[in-house]
Amino acid sequence: MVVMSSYREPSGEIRHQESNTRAFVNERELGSGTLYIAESILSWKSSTSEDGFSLEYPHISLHAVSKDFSNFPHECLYIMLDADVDNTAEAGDDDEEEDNLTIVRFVPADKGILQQLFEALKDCQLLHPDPNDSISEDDFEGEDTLAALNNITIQRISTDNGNGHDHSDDAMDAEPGQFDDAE
Amino acid sequence: MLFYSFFKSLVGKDVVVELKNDLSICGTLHSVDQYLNIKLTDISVTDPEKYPHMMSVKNCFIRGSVVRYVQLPADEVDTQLLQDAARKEAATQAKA
Repeated sequence: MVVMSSYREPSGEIRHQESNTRAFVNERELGSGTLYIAESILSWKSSTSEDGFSLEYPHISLHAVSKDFSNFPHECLYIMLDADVDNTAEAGDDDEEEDNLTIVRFVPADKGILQQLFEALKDCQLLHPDPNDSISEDDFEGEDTLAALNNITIQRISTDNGNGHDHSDDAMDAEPGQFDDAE
Repeated sequence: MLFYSFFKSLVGKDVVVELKNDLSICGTLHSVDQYLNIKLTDISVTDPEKYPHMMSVKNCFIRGSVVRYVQLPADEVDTQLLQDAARKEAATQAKA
């Protein structure tokens, strides 16, 4: 599993590009460079060295704008990754004590841009849903689910015909007795 | 869609989100989307040992796929209603 790869040129639409942005990985500063929040990938390229890295959105567990100076002395875009890039070797017992996460912070020269970075990252996260999620199966055929919850309440107090079938469900267009057991 | 609608009805309530990496974050549910991505505001400490280093974060966006549990205020949820709705949805899916 590659959580943080070497720098990849962002392809496709770039939602936000911010230069003069410092990057920190687990409190280790990599320098100043340009942050690219693109629809395909998040990339940072140093302006002073060949350093750089890219993050894939499915591995970004959480992101936020952090302004807590007691923990980190700069306002930043705070990003939590779902693995520890500094401890990739499986060390057995050590894993239970180490956090399985990486904290990446971006500190732009323009602090006022942080909220836009947050929104851009959020928008790109929406473009990379988890492939394991099966959303389409949950379709109620267009019926509002909260309305469905109300239907259940109605069914509780309505009288049925004794066979357990009530006739308050208009969408079914069921004829009376259509689903009764065969004689 | 059921739980998307369910979480939408809890917007504005305080919840605790436990992630798959064991960290717990308490905050006010600001919004949720169809992937159950969660946006929390006014983050605060729940369990100091599990607490991530992000104090006084105003907004945070949590990817739905990393959420293990969402702890809800008990008096805000009609569990019987939710069980019935889930059963009904499961029956609908079985027919499809």
